[in-house]
Amino acid sequence: METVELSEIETRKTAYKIFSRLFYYPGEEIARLLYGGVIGEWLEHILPGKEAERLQTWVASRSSAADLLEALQVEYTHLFITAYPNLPAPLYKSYYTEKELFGADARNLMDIYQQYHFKVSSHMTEMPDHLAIILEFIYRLLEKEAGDSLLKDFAISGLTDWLPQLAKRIEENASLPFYPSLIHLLQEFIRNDLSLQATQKSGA
Amino acid sequence: MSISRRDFLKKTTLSAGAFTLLSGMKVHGMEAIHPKGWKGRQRVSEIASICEMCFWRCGILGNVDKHGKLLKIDGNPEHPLTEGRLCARGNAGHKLAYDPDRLKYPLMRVGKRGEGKFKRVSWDEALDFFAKKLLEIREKHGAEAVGFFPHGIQARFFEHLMKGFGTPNIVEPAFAQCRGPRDVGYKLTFGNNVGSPEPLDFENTKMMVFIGTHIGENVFTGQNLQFANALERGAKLIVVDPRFSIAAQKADYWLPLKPGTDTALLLAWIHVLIYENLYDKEYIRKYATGFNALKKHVKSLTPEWAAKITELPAGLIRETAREMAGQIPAVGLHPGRHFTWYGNDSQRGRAMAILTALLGAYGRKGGIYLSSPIPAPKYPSPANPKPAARADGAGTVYPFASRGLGVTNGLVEATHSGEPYPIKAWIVYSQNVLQSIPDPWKTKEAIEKLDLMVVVDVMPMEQYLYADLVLPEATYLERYDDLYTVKNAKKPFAAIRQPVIDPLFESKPGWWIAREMAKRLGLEEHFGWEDIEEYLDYRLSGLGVTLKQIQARGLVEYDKGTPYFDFSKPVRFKTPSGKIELYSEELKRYGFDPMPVYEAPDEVPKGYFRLLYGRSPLHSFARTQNNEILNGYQPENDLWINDKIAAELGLIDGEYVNLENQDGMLSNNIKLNVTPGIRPDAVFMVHGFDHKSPLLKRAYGKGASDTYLMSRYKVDPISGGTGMRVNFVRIIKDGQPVMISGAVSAIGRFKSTRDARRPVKKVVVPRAVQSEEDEGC
Repeated sequence: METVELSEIETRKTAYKIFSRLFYYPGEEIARLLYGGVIGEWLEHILPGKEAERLQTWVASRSSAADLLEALQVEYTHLFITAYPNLPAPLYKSYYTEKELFGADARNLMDIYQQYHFKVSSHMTEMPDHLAIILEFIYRLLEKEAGDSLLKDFAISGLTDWLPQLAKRIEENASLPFYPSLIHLLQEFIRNDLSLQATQKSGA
Repeated sequence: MSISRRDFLKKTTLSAGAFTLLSGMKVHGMEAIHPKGWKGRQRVSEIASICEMCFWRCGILGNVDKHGKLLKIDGNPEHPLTEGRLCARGNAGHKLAYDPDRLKYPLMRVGKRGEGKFKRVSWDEALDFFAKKLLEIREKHGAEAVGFFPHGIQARFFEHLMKGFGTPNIVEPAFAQCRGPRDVGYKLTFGNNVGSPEPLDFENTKMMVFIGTHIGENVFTGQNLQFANALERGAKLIVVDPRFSIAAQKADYWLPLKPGTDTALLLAWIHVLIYENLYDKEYIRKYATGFNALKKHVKSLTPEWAAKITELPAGLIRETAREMAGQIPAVGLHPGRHFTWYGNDSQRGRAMAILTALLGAYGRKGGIYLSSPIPAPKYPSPANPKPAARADGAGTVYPFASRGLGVTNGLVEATHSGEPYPIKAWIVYSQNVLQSIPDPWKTKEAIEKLDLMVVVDVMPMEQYLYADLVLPEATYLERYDDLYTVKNAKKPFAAIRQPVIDPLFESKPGWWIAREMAKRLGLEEHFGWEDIEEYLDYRLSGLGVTLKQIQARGLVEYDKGTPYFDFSKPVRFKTPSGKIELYSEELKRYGFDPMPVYEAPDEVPKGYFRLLYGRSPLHSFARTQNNEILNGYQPENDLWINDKIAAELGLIDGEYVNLENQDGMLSNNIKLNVTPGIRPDAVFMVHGFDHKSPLLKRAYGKGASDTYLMSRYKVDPISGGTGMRVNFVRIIKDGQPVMISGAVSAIGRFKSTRDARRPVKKVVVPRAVQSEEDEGC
């Protein structure tokens, strides 16, 4: 089988892009890629272990891509948009830090995006501090090959301080294994990535 | 298996196919901006619009930062009625837009109805489904099988759509749960509704009379301002209320009558005016009909007769009537607002209108001024299909009910019973049908019989859980609405609602939702305008301005208002006789009393209190309890209970109890407010609390719901309005009822907060325990 070896930067870019897509509302394309095993293969490759395996096993258990999509959409709605009796895990940073939408954190992020010459698309209906947008921003920064030190600073303050709260809520409220595994994988990836960048910076 | 940090990401290989697929995957949430071309969103300050935290619709200025975040809301000093003032609710409006609990995306039910399990869908998917279901229902059952429950000006576009679709069943609680009987009473008398805002000439009044109206708690900023100015100017005030309301605290006379006996008091006042020859004789002679019949009708309805009923001294009734007569015609008898109390409310409205007429105060300086139509043409639209007969009884069972606003409870009944024909779909638009219509259990049962339940709203209110489809509407801060024309102003004006910020998430303005649905229902021609700006331009053309010209101020005045009658010309009222109808042939023709007759309310059962309810200045209906700021100020309501009764029952201020009504319905916990400021036969709570939707995180389960203690209501046969002060409650403490063992009087305990210059002249306190009532809206 023909294979392609990715550079470090390609790998990191691709990872952030995939994670970003996986935290947007699922659509047909993502369901196809998941059901076809492409994303599972990728995750198992960069983050080998039981979470990637659990995610892929569950995905493979669905009867079709359409069945998978329906299940993910219902679960995403339940976890991140609305649920009875309580919405478990909104994907906005300000929700955890300020208990409101479009809080100071969201606006600070807008300033950071602008500093790097990005903005949230005019057609985008999510908040600037939505997890998927934050991840997409990192992907775009890497694509532009912006400085890793800036990325690191941003990533630490912009992501890691609230992901544990989000992960806990997802774990406690999910009815399917998909999102608990996904948030674990994301956290693990970020930990590894930041450690790697720190190691490289120190010249180790 | 673990991976070392050094190895992490160093040896990533993928199959070529996977690489191609993953490389081709796009993300679309961000876009690059040109480093020099992008200046960021500029600060936009003070965008003028109109509030919707209540129905008063004051002028606002939204302050937006460079990120597009609405930071605060101020009053618009250009607004003719509010002059820059804004209440707490108006100031807290931005928290509605940023409430994490708000509806964000269209949702389709995937679980059982009531289970609260939904899936996010696209607007196309949602509206296609919606339209398909409506067309199927119309095909099978007729357009009349669709019931529409709108509220507010934002729903006007969808109402236009529903009329084009062909359903006659459009119903708002603003009529049958609020001011319907009032408007019927005044229309039968003067030929015109009172309308909103109530056209009271407080600027020139010398005497204000409130029958249950509790301005100060019931905060309408413009009216509060006028009220405060009138007091400052020295106008007198009579307040009739079983409760020592904020208005009562400012009064010259406070009359804490036995609840439900207002009509007896009004008839006795009418008696005094006529039999002491104090009424405005010239006004009545020229402009009224039926005076002799009225005189005969009230002959025996003396203050002494009323005293036994109202528990007010006859002398005080007489004195207050004379006080009013002394200020003719500058008497501002407030028509009230929430008027559906006891099921005979249209006749109470008639009595108030007749009293107003005898005082010569209608269309006169200092009384009720006349509304002035505003020339804002409707956008051309094809004629609507002729609808089938209504199912709610408006115009038939309830002959004087508004066909425009309908009878909500009538439509609930029809849906529940399937009579006169089956109702298959409800569209509930910005209305909380479970916290505004009494007997919510019946409403739920009716919903269960539907084939389709669609909710359009900003917040996940109670009925959201029962929806098949949920459509998120943009907040009032994020949208254009129809032109708001204020004809009830001495200088009438038209105001615009325009977006202060962009709609968040996938919420959409009502005009957009209606027009998109029109495309799917084959009704595009009913929405022939290019865009909303063109629509508003067309409507504003009658006032000689464009939208662009008034966007900065947010409004345009219309200087051709005529607030008072011109008595140099013939005056014709819009009644059948052309005169003020003290005696109503119309009522007689339909088998009703042509003149108001007092009907005694049911007595309070032993051990119970009459449940009264009203307003708080910090909340509107059941709409604002989840607002972060307002919830912070008032997270729950409390229960007013007379202090002597509380002492006898061993109840302590601040402790929590439950209420159980006469049918065994139990309330949530509610904190006691032990006060001398309420009669001993009644308890009082602010309406709108104890939300049943857990998705309203701050409001859920906080305080007690008055509506969920209303298992009974008494329908006014004239208007269809639901008398809701017919429910009785007892106190439950530690799971056991707390019983009243004897009568307690609170005589002499009430004090005015007014300054020493104008102490409350007369305070009378009830003699008996067994009784009821109050008001508000």
